[in-house]
Amino acid sequence: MSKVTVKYRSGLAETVGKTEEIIPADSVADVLKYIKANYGRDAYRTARAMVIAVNEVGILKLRVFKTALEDGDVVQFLPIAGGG
Amino acid sequence: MSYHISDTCIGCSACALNCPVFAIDGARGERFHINGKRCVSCGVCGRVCPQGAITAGDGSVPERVKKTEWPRPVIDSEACTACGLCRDICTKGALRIAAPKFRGDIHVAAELSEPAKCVGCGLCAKICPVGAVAVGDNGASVAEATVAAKKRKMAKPAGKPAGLRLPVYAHIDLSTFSVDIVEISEACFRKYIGGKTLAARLLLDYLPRGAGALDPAAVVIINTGPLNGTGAPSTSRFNMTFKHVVSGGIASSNCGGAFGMMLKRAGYDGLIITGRAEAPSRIEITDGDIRLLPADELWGLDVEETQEKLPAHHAKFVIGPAGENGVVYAGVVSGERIAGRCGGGAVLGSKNLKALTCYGTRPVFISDRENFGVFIRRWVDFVRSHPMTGEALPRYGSAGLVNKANTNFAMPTHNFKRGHDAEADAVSGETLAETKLERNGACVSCPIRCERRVKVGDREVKGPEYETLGLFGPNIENRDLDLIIELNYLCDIYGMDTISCAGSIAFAMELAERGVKDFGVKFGDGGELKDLIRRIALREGEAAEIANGSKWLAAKYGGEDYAIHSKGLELAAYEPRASVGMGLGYATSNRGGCHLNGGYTALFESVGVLSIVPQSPRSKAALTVFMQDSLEAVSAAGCCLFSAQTIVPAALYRLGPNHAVTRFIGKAAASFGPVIQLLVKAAPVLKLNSLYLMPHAEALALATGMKVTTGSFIELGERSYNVERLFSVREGQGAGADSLPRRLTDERQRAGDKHSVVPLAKMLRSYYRIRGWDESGAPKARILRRLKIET
Repeated sequence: MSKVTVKYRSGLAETVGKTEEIIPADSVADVLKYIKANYGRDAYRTARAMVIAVNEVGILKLRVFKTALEDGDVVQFLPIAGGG
Repeated sequence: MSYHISDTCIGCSACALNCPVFAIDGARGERFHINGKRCVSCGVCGRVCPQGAITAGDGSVPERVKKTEWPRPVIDSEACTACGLCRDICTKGALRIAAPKFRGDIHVAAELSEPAKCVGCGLCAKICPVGAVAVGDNGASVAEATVAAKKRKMAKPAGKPAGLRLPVYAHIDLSTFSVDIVEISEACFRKYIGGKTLAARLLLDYLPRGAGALDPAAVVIINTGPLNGTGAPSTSRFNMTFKHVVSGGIASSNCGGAFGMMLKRAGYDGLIITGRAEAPSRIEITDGDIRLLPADELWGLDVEETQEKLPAHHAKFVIGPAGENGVVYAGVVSGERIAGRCGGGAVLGSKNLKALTCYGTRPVFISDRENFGVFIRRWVDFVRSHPMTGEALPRYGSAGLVNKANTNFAMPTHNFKRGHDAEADAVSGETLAETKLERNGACVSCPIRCERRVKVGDREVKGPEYETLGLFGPNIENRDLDLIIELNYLCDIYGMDTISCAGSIAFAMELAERGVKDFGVKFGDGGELKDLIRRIALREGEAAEIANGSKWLAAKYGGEDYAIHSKGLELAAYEPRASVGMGLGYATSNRGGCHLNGGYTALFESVGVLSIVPQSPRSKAALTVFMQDSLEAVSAAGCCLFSAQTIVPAALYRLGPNHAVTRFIGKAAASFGPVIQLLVKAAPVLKLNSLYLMPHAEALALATGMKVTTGSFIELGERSYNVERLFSVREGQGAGADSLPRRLTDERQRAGDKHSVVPLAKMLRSYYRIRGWDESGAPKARILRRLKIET
């Protein structure tokens, strides 16, 4: 599996107790599975509902959860924001 | 009935010193007098009078009470929204919003921080819209004070709706200094309600056709909406409408300071200002009386210094050096809030009007006060429980949009050349919250509390919004967050709009990069920027040219294709090639390149939880019309547009943007065009009012005594958009004004993506058709008849 950096923000960082870690994953779905296995269902639900970006590009611009990951990729979990 | 002082008064001044509304005046040793216009019958004077010289309105003589036995406010911190209304009305400075327990703590409440200063007047309890403040015996618990307060309320008979009250405006001619009181007719009020809508109508009626924006004949309307000051959520926003300094069309600007609310308490719903004062002047309004005073000593001061020199208990609205020097994007500042867009500061500067202040204690009119109170509590609960207004905005403010916009290629970078900056996180809302945020703040009466409080040196100031972060950040290739905070502060104290200022600087940087004209600033180099801001505000040297804005610079040096403005107003920080509906909004916005006046469809395309096919023109014309009308009506009511963000269901936020349901709705919504179009055309048939759709409509109905439904509310917005357009057309705005620079319509944002342009021409045709406008963008007679707009 590829080694990717995962960055947590907002409440998710508080839930998982860290802001960053390197984990093995070949896709965004793998990252979510890792979160579920290591930090529980609540963390998984929170993570799924956040803005997810791979190398600063939103996964909606890519292949959503099927987005493939390579060594050195950075996956960010960002809060949904608002404004105007 | 107000209190009265009898001739047994010995002139000790105890009453005057303790009066919370400065209603008592007199010379020591002589009989004091109570200003009946201002007295709020709180009874404080009676408690402190050693002579028993005070008589209440009912003829009784209150007894003197020891200070230790005076009533005190007790605050229910669970119910308190920290909206600041109680703190603001307390002239004794006894209340404050508690400090957060930790960085990022959003659950704060008001507290009695200086009990020794409290006089027990109870104004804080009276004004609290959610009943979180009760006045009880000194030392009473929340429960005891609340029970006592409820008993007092029950003793009063339930009030009946008070019917309709027509807005009262003061027409001030600065040239002659004459003041006329103008009562808005019932027909006009019913059609235009207030805020920017009524202001556009008044501008049409008062401004002589063809008068220049800076001529003495130019008219400035500063006005409120019916919900301003009522305690409804986010209702401190007041409006300023005038002729646009650059485009010559309509200009409006909105401000969250306390001036609007206080103007209503002083007896006016709005001001119509004409003429030009001979020398620097200021307007002072107290209890309905209007005076023009000299302001020579204020001229040249920044907005902080100016406000410090004005009467402390007055609400202020002032210009800084930028306004005095005619910077075309100079704003007008109230507290730390600015009516920034369109150059209103320059217009007041041209009139030699440095400042307006007002103070009054009249209660703000609410027709059905009892039901209004009940509805407001439900609305506040809804706002606080919604993931957007109760969580995302308080936690990150609008600054939280930086990363989201960036991940979707909607972050303007390098003068809108690109839509993505690999280092944008350095200036994101999350980084701001994690490293710079001191605490949240809020406009008065707002439970959302999205303001970022940050430090500049030792001083705590208002932090940057998303627009400022984006345009003083990636758009000029700057990733120094501390520098952005300082630039934001400098623009504020000089009284300048950060959007247009940063946009004009970005254009100047590109001119330099292309070798056209070197203004001494370049992308990625922040070294000169702080000084440049000062020189722009003071119009020093070549910076004076940047003070004229992008349109002027492009006319002189060329580069129209990459001068990022619409109708002379620089675009906000949403890259429209990643949200093409927003591109249509920018182009058609009556005041020019504004995301909010443009309908803010970016929220549904690229920066919100929904993603309505951001690069497709499908349904975007209908969506833009619908959103423009809706936001226009919210603004006319006197509300912050953030209060409308609850229109996106909370369930979608909980599912998140990546969930299959959210994605499906986003895709399906691209086919909703005909439905939205029908909604726009048949809006008046929407008779329902819902907290989940447009709570403003019901609040407006209860506050004004008029029948307002969601449908008639949206139709109000449509009327507003048309009357503003009518003004611009009358003043010469013709075909081609609804445009964008070619960079956005012709140059692909990403070389390999043929959809990464704004297909403006295609959307514009649909837009005009839905609006009922002709090919030049002018309203047809038929639509004006339907909306009952007289030309």
